[in-house]
Amino acid sequence: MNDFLAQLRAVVGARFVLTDPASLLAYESDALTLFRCQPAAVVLPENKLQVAACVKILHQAQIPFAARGAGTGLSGGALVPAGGVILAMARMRRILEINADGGWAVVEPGVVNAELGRQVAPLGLRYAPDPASQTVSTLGGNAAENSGGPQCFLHGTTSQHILAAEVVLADGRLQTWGTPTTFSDALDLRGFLLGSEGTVGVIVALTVRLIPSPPSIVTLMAAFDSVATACASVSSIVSAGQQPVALEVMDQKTIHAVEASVYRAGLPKDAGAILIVEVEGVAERTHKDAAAIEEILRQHNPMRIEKADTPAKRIAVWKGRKGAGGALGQLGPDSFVMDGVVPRSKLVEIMDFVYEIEQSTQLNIANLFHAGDGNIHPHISYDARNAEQVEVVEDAGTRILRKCLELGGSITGEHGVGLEKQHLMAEQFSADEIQIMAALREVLNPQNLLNPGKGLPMKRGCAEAFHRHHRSAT
Amino acid sequence: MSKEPCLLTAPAQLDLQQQMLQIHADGLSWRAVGTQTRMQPQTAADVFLSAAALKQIHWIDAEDRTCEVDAGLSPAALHAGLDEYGLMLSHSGCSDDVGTIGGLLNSGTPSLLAGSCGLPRDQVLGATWLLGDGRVIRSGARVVKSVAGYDVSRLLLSAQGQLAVGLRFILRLRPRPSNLRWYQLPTDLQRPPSSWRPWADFQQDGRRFAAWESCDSPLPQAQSISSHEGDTAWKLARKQCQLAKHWLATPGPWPAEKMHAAGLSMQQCLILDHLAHQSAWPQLAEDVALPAGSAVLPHRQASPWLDAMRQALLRS
Repeated sequence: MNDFLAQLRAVVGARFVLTDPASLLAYESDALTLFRCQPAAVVLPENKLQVAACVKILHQAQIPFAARGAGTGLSGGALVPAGGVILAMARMRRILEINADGGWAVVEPGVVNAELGRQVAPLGLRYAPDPASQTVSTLGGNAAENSGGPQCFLHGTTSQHILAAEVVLADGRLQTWGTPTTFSDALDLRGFLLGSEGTVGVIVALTVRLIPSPPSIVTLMAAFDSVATACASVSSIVSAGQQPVALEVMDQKTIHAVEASVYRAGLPKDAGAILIVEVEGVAERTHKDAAAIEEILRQHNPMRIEKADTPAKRIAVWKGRKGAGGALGQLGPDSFVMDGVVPRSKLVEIMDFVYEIEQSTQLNIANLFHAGDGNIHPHISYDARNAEQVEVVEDAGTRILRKCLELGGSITGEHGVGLEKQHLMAEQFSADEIQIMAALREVLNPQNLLNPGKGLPMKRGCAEAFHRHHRSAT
Repeated sequence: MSKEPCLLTAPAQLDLQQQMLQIHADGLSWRAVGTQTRMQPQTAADVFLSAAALKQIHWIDAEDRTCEVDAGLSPAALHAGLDEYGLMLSHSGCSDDVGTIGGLLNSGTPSLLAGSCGLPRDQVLGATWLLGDGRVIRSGARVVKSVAGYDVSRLLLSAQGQLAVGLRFILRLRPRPSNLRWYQLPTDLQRPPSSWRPWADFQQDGRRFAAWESCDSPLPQAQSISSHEGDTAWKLARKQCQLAKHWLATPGPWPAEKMHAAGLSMQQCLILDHLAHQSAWPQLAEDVALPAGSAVLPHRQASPWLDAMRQALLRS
C-alpha cells in the first residue's frame, strides 16, 4: 500500500494525495448517499500527464480507481471499493482553447459546466447541455454520465455536444477519440465512452461543441390544476409540431418547496402543477411560436399563463426550476432523486403510478421532470436513520422504474446506472445483451480496475464491496 | 458453403440468422452490406451479408416522434411513410430512392441536415443486431433519452458492418418544417478554411441552417443564386439529392475527397423554419462559404480496436 502511495506522491506532490480520514470523508459518496465507501486515498492530479502517470502506477499495483468530478452524480457512480483510489479532477479546470469560428472549445474535465457558458457568452456562443447541477457539476462528469438537462429536448444530451475526448486508458496510455469536425469515419469509441460512467477511460480533455446564443428567447409558465393536465398540454404542443427548447413540469409539492427556499421565484402556490415552455431563435420566430404554444396551452384551461419575456423574469423562473432539487432538501434529512424514462405519450400513466406509490407507501414524493423527453425525477424525502423506511424507499424506487420498463421506457435517462440500478439492468436487457456490453468494456478495461462495479450488474459477492448506508439513530 | 466471395441476403430475420450460423460454423469471414450504393466494402471477406430484403416499417409513433424500421427499407420509403404524420428523419440525403436505411446509418454519410441535426446515425435510439455467432441482440431503447448500459448502437454502426449486421432501427423523428427556403449559390471552395467565417456570422444573426451541402454534380442552377420556398424548396432539395446519387454511387474515394479533387463549383443551402425577409438573403448569400469542418469527411481510419472488439463479441 505505502509503496504505491509514495509513487503517487512523487507524481503529484505529497499535499495532493489525501489519506487522512477527515479528508476522505468527503469522497465516501456522491449525491446519492444510499451508497458509501471510503477510498484508501484521493489523488488530485494537475494535468493529463500526471493522470497518465498515476494510472500507470495504479495499474501496476492492481489498485482499483475511479475519476471523480464534483461528486454531484446521483447513482453512486464515483465510488471505489475499499482499498481503491479516487482521481479527483478538481485541479484540472482550465479551458485550453476556444475556437469561435469552428464552434468548439477544448476543456479539462474539471471545468464546471456553467463556467464554460460564462466564458463563451461574450463571443455569442454557448454550451447547450444544462443539467440542473450545472453551476457545480463538471464537464468531465457530465460526459461520463451523458448528462441531460431541460434544453436537451431540442439540443440533445451531452453525447451530441462532445466532438472528441482525450482519455487515459486503464493501463495509462493516452488516446484521443473523435475530431473537432462534425463527421468522423472512425470507429466511434468517443460515443462508447460517453455515458460509460467512467469505466472505459479517464477523460483528461474534451472538445465540446459550442452553438450560437439565440438572439431571442421567450419563456412561458402555465399553471394548471393538476400534473395530468400539464402533461396533456405537453402532448398537444409536441403533436402540433412545435419545437420548443424545453418543456418542464413541477408539481405542487415542488412549487411549495421552491417558494419556501432561497430559490423563491414567485411560482403560483395554488397550482397543481406548472409547465415551463421555452422557445428560442430569431425574434419574429420566437414570438410567433410562443403565441402558437400559448394558444395550445389555453385549450387545456390553465389557471394562468405568464410570459417571462425579459432576461430578469426568465432568470427568476429558471432559478426556481434549477434550484428545485436543493429546495426539496428541506422536506427530509435525506433525499433519493430518481430518474426514469417513458415514451412521452405515457407520461400521464407513469405519473398516476408515482402518485399511487406515494399514497400506498405514505412516502413524501415531489415531482419535477423533463416532460418533453418523458424523463421523470420523483424526489423521495426520507430519513436514513429509519432502516425500515429506507427499505420502503428502495422498494418504491424499484417499482416505479419497473413501471417505466413496462410502459416501454428505460431505467435511466441521465443519471446513469451506477450502483443504484444494477439490479434492474437484467430487466431492461437480456443476459446476452449484458454479456455483450461487458465484453466490449473488457476490451478497454481488461482487468476491471477502472471504476469497477458500475453500470452493469456485478458478479455475485462483489456488491458487498459497496455498502448501503443506514445512519445511526443516535 | 463456397469459399468464393459471395453476397447473401434473405427476406426474413430468421433466415439471415441461419446464414450467419452457417458462416460461423464454416469459419468464414463476413461483412454486412446494404445495397452497396453508399460505400464500397473496404475489407476483404468471404461473404457479404445483406439485410436489404427486410423492408418493413414496424411502427410509427407520431406523438413520441419515433419509429422502428427494418434495415433494408429505403430512405425514400421511410419518407413516404412519414409524410402523412408531418414527420421526417433528420436526413435528406443523396440517393434517397436507392440504398437502405441500414446502409445510410452504417456509412455515416452526412446528409443535407447534418449541420443542424447531426449525422443520420445520431438519430438512432435503439437497434436490433445480428452478431457473428448468430445471436440477435438489442441495443438502446425506444425512448428519446436513455443512458442505461453502453451506447452499443453507435459503436456497432461506426464499424460499418464489420462487427454486426443491423437488422432493425428505432429512430428519432422530427416535425417536417413548416417554412423553409432552398438556396443554391456559386462559390469558390478553394478558399482556405480560415476564410470560412460567414457561417458563424450567419448563425450569430440568429439564422439556423437546417442544411448545408456542397456538391460538384453538374446541377442546372450551378452558375447563379436561386432560392425557393415552402414545399417547392423541399421537393427541390430531394430532387437535387437524387441527381447527385450517381456521383455518390460511383465507386471511388469518399465524397469529401472527390469534392476537393474536383474543385467544387457550387454549394446548396437549405434553410428550414425561417421567416427572414426575402430581400435580406441574396446579399448574405454572396458572402457565404463552407462552414469549417462541416462537410469534410476525414480519411477512413483503421482502428486498432476493431479486431479486439470483434473477438470480444464472439467470445462473450
